[in-house]
Amino acid sequence: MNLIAKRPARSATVCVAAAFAALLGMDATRGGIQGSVHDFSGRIWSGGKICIVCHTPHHADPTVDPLWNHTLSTAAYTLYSSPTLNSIPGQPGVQSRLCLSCHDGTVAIDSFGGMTGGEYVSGDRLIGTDLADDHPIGMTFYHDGPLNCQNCHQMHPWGFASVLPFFDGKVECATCHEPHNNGVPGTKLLRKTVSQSALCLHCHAK
Amino acid sequence: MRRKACILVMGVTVGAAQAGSIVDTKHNLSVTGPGTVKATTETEICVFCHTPHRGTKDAPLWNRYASGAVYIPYSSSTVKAAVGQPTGASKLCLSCHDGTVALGLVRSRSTTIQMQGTSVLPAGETRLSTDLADDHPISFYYDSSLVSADGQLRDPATLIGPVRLDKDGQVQCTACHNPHDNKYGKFLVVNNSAAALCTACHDRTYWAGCSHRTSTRTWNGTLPDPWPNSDRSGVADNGCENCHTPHTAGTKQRLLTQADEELTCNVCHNGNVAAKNVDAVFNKYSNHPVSATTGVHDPTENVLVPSGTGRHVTCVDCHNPHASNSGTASAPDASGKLAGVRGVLLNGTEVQPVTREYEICFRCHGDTAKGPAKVSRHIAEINTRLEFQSSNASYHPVAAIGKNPDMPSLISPWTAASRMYCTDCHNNNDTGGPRGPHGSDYDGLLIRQMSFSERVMPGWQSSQFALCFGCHSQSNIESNASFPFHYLHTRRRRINCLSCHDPHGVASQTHLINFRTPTVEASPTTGKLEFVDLGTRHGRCDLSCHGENHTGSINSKYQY
Repeated sequence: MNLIAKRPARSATVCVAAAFAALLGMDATRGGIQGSVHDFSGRIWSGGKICIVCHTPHHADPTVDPLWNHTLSTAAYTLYSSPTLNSIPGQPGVQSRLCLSCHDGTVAIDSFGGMTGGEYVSGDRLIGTDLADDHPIGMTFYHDGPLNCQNCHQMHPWGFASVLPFFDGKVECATCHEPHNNGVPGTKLLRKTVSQSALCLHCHAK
Repeated sequence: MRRKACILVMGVTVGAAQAGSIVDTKHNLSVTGPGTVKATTETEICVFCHTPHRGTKDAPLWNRYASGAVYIPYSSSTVKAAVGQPTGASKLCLSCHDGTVALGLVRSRSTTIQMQGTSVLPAGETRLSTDLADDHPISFYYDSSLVSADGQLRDPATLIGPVRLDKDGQVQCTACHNPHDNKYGKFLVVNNSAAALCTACHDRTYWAGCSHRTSTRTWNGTLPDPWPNSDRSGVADNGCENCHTPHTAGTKQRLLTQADEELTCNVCHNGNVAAKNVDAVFNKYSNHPVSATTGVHDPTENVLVPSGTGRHVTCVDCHNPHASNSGTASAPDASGKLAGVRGVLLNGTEVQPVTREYEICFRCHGDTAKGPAKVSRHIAEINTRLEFQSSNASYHPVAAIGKNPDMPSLISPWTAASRMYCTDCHNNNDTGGPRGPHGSDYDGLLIRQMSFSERVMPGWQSSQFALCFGCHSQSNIESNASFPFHYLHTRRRRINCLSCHDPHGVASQTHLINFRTPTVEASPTTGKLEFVDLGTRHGRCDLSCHGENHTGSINSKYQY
């Protein structure tokens, strides 16, 4: 509500966005990537740069957006499946493939801009090429189960990105994670808090 | 206007996230959960079961470790399902509900989430333990072959929406429970009022017309609580749960609520729910001893209850609680209270269900009658099925219309063409109390007093033969209408009716005549011990009674 008070609402869309920002705390906040776990400027191989590991203003990979600079993985992934799952995941969508170009562990973090590096993702951050034990991605949100419809449909008419955005209409890694930092250290770059499982329950009407 | 719209959006968002959600249930084990079992500081809810990464494939992104327990599965003499160790989703539930695994032990955390109180599920009705024999069977295939073998299950293809089998066609905990939604209580997938959940699968024969399904009776509040595992009131509302409970059953086989089989019935049939107190009647002097055995009766037992080891009587030997109803009948047909019960036909073959009341009695008092007879007879027979054969020379008209059309003593409405029940004689002496041969203050479980003495000592009173005189006019008998020496034998000699008459039936002698031994002996003159029917109201005795020679001949008083 502070945001509303400071900044008179100019449109319904601004009003809605401000409301969610106030309500959901970090949701609409974006911390700078500087200092985040995705800031590799301290590594020798980054040359002190941050964006370069993933993006380049010129000579980007023409096959993927946005101005992609990291070597893409060519892995084929084992997909999540479940007898109770109505929405069938496909191979990860292009946005998730960007994440997996480091996190599947087949391409080094420092393989970008045509270089081949040697530092790989490890530990909890290593997803691997077996996605069967991970939340499904590359799937269209299924609209016939118990869902929290209003969490999306209250917002779409005003053209806002969802708090947990879809990509080409699909759930991808970046639906839950904000790779450029959520501004709250130690929270796995999640777009919503997991306190009271708010992130999960945003979509899952459980 | 815009500010109002803004507030409205916020309201919808917050409200909708909570309604009917796991957040409001006991399965919210986070520190803010509503139950008593919860974490000390953990704020996440889903984490106790699920994780977005590195979950197991046992269930959607499963975050728990499987219990290593070996379980005792449900078993019973009547279950047709092959019930083994838990599989599938049931194992997931049991990773908390068997009480062996710490609630906070999850894969995504390097340290166990600390819980308030004990680390495992505390003792109580939700801790099923590793003994699942007192719980509804799980992890079995529910398919057409099971339906065929059981005979009282619905086709699994017709299961109603929320009641689901798992991907392999097995019944798991999740057939009845939805761990994320507690809107019906106990996390049930549908409201089990009137057994709506149970009957999604169970299609009990006779149940549609059963009083236990339709009765509007309610509990009067006097302890014990007849429905300790149910928060519903009224018989119809409780449905199956009047007698059965799906978990932590008192009697494991068939999941009865009570450990004592009769108590299962008597918690209601003690006047607290049912209108009449049958329970108390079993305490009367003469009774069917239902309390003498526990756990002996089995639905698969032979229809003939043994005379020796294994002899028993329980409520369900005579009543089918899935079928009993208030339907009325007249002799000899079984009433609704005896609907759906097994019995033995007059010819000795098993019948299911009985159509005649006496067919139930023959289960114990027929070919496997225990004896000894209360009165020893010169024609000894304790098998009531044989005593009531229509081919016999005489019998009370239980299994057929009587043989003797000349019955001057009968009190209206009885006639020589009447039929009667066993329970016209063997019944509760309190005629305002619950009917049936449960118990009586009188020997022989008789509805009215009847002396079994050989002779009645001074002070002969008609009340000592009230049973007989209830239907047979005392004054008519004493007027010697049918037998010229009735008055002499009864009032003068104080001889019991039973010393000459054998009330059930006699194969070879008319007028139910079968003499008491050893009082009555063979005639020293002829060596015979018999009554010879010489036509209507005529006959002859050849015997000796208390040493008095009764040898009939044309001119003797022993032939009339």
